Amino acid sequence: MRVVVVGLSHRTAPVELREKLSLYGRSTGEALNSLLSASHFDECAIISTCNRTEIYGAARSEDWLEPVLELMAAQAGVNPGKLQDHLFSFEGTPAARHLFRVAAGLDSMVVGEGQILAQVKDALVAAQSAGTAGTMMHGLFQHAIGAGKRARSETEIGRGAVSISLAAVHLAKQIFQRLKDRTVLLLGAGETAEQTAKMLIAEAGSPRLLVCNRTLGRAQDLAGQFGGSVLAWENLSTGLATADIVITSTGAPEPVISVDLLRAAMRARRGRALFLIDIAVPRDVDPQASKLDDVYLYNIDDLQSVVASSLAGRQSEIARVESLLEEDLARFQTWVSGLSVGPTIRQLQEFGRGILDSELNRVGGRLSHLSERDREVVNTLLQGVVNKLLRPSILHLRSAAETGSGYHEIEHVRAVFGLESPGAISDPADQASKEPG
Amino acid sequence: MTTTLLALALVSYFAASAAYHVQLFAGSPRAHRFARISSGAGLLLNLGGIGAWCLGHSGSILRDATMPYSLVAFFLVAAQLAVDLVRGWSALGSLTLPLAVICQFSATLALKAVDPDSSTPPAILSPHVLALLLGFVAFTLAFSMAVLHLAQTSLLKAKRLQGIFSRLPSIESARTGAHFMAIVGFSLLSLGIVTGAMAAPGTWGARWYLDLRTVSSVAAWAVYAAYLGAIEILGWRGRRTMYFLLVGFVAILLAFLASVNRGAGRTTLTTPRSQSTSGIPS
Repeated sequence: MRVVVVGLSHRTAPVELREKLSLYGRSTGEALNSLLSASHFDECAIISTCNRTEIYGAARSEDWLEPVLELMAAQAGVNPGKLQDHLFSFEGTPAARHLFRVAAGLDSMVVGEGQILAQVKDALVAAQSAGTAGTMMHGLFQHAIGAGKRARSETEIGRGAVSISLAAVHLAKQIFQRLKDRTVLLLGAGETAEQTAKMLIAEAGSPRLLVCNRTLGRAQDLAGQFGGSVLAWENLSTGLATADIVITSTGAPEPVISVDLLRAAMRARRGRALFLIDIAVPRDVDPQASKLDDVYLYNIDDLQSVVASSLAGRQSEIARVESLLEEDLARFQTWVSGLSVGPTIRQLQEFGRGILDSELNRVGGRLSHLSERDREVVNTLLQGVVNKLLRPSILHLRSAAETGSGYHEIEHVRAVFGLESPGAISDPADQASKEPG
Repeated sequence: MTTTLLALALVSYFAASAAYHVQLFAGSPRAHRFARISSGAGLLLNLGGIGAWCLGHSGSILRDATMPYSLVAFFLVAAQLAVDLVRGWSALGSLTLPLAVICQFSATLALKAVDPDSSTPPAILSPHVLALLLGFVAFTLAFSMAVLHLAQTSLLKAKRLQGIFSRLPSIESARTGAHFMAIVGFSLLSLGIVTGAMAAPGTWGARWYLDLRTVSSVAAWAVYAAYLGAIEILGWRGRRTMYFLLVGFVAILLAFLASVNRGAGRTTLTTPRSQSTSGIPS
């Protein structure tokens, strides 16, 4: 049995193809069951997001790919040959490594994004509910989820804001810590400002929202949409003295918030911090305002550079994450090796018991003169001898499992004792990756 | 025994301080975990050292400079560790732990050989001394949080949002934390000054107030009173209020050093009537 993966992602397939195969937002139970019955899988799980559809399986034969490919082609309604051009597939260690990278967010469109980890968890839960996840899938996904969590907690791969709106929220939190009960003033009604306000409201819970716009109707619409109140344009100075966060996006050709206006507002605020997010082009806030004490002014370029540096920071963490993933991968391989020695040890013990029973049966008649107690003593004695004979082999297997070489030792032990193959899991390290298309 | 325990505590604090700096500048969660463990180990060793010292000494704990320094280091690390565990502020450790290391180092330097007389009663920590020591620790934390506030303000103003920026507490958290610690410190300092003033004439004579530690304590009290007035009466917030905490810390540091050195009989502006090593009247 070997771990395999086949799938497509934003790296290999256009959205037109991805959407045909996507099960995102739908139940995967039916797909999992048809996959299990039509393929050479003993276990399987599907990760399906808007950016990827990946099928993970515990394959019992080497020609596992073709039936899965046919199923996928039928689902997408495309020619298997055409689909193959956009697919990737891995077997053994590379397959596990791929899942670990996915869980850590290294394979995501926005490197380090956190949503994928929850989607990997959902994939495992769905496979368990459908009854298609056994020991191998459970172990593989649990190790991958652990690796994903570790990557996020021990590196900065998930740090920083990766959109203008998130950057604004991130900065607001660095100033105010909690956004609940803060007052947000929305000046103008641009789309990005609206998005940022939406994000702030989602993060903050229930901030007080003031909407100030030259067109009263638009201000009323926005205030109604977000449950805020309208501030008359003439009362802008009052709004500046009251609000904690101001998002501006008017279409005015000149700054609508001058340094003098802000200075007056800051006097009234007595040093209370004011975060100004100026998304308008041309800018709504006089740039000189940033020199005022306790005023934090960020324009669209500043926020874009926050996003760019966050992304650059995440890129620079990739090597650290890769190194952590290799450690986790080694742990997974050890677990797999340990998993495969278990059945062999059980076989070995059964082998010993079998010999003991058959020998006792063979000489049973000649021991009939012994009392019940004496027969028990002989039985215990022989059991002890068998156990002592098998013990070095069992210890050797266990120790080999701990060092990750269990698979090779299993073959030796089986050959020595003439055990039949229990269908143990193959060594993932021996499996090579292959990229169709 | 005391020397060994205090020296081991010093090593632990030093290791924790280094680890907090690694966490601040490199963002290493492992270093953060190590810093917490090392701080905890240092606290236990320090507590053992303090206990061993108290069992071997009698009278005020200010008979030499060991205990004031070591107690301040202990309380400082304990408070910092509590803040770190509750709020996750590792950046605070990179400021307070070096101060704790300096205090603990001074404690081990000041340690004198003790006559192991088991019949001596344990050393005394009077409410007056305890209030002043805890007050000093609270002001040190307020000072550290004010520094974090100013650092975060500068980074946000300069739009330098990489590196340590994300590991510093938010401006509002640092402000409220510093304010809380300043209130605690001010209350304890007021208590210390009042209890000291009640006992001082009997011990130090009529001109007890002509003393560097008394003058600097009162000056520190005045600075913190001005800070609280600016906040509570004038409604000030923001960067300028943090400068009060920096100035106040300089005054309280002076008062602390003067008290410790006077207690240890090194520098005095006035001479106590009875003994030169009795320290702050208790």
